[in-house]
Amino acid sequence: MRTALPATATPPAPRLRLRLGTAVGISVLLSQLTSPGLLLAACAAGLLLALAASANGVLPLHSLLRRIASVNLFVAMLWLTLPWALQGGGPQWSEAGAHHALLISLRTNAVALGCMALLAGLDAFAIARAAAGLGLPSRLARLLVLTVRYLGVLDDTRRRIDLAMRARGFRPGANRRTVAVLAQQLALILVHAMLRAERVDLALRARAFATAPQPATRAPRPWRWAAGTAALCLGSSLLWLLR
Amino acid sequence: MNAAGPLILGRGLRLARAGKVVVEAFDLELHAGERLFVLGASGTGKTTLLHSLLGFVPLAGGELQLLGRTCRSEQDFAPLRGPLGLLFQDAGDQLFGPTVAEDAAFGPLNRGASAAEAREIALQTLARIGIAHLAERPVHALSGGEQRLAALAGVLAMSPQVLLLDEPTTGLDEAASERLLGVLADSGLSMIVASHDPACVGALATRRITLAPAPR
Amino acid sequence: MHLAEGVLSAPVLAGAAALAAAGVAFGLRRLGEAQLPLAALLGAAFFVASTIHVPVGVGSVHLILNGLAGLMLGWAVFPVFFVALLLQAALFSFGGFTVLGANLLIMALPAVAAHYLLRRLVRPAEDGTPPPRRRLLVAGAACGIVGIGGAAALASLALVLSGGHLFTELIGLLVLAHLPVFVVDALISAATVALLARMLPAALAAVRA
Ligand SMILES: Nc1ncnc2c1ncn2[C@@H]1O[C@H](COP(=O)(O)OP(=O)(O)OP(=O)(O)O)[C@@H](O)[C@H]1O
Ligand SMILES: [Mg+2]
Repeated sequence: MRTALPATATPPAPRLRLRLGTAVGISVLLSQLTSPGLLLAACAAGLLLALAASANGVLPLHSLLRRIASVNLFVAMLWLTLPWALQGGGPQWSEAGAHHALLISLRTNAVALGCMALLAGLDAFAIARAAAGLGLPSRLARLLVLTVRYLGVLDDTRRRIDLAMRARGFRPGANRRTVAVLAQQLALILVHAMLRAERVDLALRARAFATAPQPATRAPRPWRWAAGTAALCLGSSLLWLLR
Repeated sequence: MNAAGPLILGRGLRLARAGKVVVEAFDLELHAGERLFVLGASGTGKTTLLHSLLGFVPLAGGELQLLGRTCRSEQDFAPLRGPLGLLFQDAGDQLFGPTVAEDAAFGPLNRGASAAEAREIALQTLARIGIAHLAERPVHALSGGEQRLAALAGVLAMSPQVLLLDEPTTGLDEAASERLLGVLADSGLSMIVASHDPACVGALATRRITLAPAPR
Repeated sequence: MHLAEGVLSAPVLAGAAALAAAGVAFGLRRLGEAQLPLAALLGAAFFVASTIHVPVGVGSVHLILNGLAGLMLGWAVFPVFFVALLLQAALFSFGGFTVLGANLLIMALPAVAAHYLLRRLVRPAEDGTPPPRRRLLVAGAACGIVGIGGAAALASLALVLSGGHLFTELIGLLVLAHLPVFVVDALISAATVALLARMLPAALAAVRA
């Protein structure tokens, strides 16, 4: 019997960094491929790896299926529009359009499956650590870590507000009352966030924030980040030109 | 509705939190006019039990009848949120604002009252429990005791038949606590109260039960 | 409004990534060290809010709220949305890493526009009195209109630049599919701005000059 595993122990930082880095790398690579055969192979490999992750219990099958479905919602829209050329009266099947739709569908699925397999079982904390390790500017990395930490807090807040509203007889439906109540939920979440920020600010100042030590990450300068992006852009442009 | 039968009847209730059984084989009965106290140490499942009576914690076993109706699914519970009024352990969770009066109007509005009717009900309720002067105060600018009373107003404004109170006096000073107990006693409503507070038990309880620590 | 991987052409992806990186860098510069917790909390709040289902007809839509976030955060939406899009790509396969730059521009540029167009409408008077309710409602609704409308326009632009007439019908379908969000976002943003002004006027005063 397989029990639903809680998030597995976070892998060590270098492994995390490698996984996220590879996921970004294959995203860039696969999204520029133009060979249906290669893309199909990539899809199959990605699917196998994702299913393997699911069999190992790191990626619940229902969440894998839901994510595949949500990715393919867009693909469905693609097939509804691209292969059809509106000419003189009715829609006409267009071979070129269909080919394009096929390529995009394969790319979208190959990238999504590959990333799901590579990142299976990683939670927001792990992603934040991995991204920080990949050389985000330190302030951006701290913003990422802080955001992840507060996500749990505010999600809890939202759940409690929702429960208390239902306890007082609120039932969502497609009507004006629902819009008003959901706006109230949103405003409450924002108010909770602002009030919490005030408390955090006081706590920081109470601990003489100015002297608070900065976390010792490799300190990539903004230009490092810009250079990295530029290299990525250049590389992908080259790939595109060479295809 | 069968007036002679119990308002709440639970048989062999089993409740779980995050897959762990918290309450096992628990029987519960509440008759009209009773003020039943649920005692038990921290973490024995008092809050879990009260939440299960509104369908917020699904039954992992046993049978539950509320106001004469057997309740299993969300559809069974939804119409009873109102007739069964829950005061949350943390009153801050329960106040939606912006002002105390508007907060008290939240329940009546959900039950289809017009804005004017809901406001009328809200103001009457605030007056009844002696906090009419707080009507226009923002809910986030209230003291702990005021918050508890405002939250109670929100519950009473739905004219419940049964009150479910989760530690209503915890954290209140003596005066605020006495005021709240007075309001509850005067309400004449049947209630289930989860509490640690001896003063609260002494002042209200007509019957007590104790939750055993979770089976290991 | 997320574009998927594999749709946009390399030059569009590269150009968008470069512009988005510049936006993030600028936003980070404007965001002082002491404001990081506030930005993170608001970012998390908007992330959580985007999981709220709004029933519409037989289905439901998720809120996007980029306009409202822009109103409150200004240029800081660039780093804040970068974080959100990175997490969504990694955790839920919404969008992706290669299109992250394009998606970031699509979401954040209209948000910044909403900030500069609308902040005067919501700022409390010198003596702290909030603006009239009517004006707050207009500003809130405009957040939804500028935010979602701008995002739809930019997404369409990215598609046109990538595939020309090939994507014309797709753009039409995408815009159509986002009509419910457009309306719901505007309605909810309007009500939310009006409520915020009453519940915590400081929330709108935080909208920095
Ligand atoms: N949301 C939750 N998720 C997982 N476990 C929970 C959750 N809420 C409560 N529990 C666990 O369920 C058990 C019962 O909790 P409950 O809140 O019902 O206790 P309580 O009797 O109300 O305690 P207290 O007197 O402290 O309020 C505890 O062991 C608690 O850790
Ligand atoms: Mg409790």
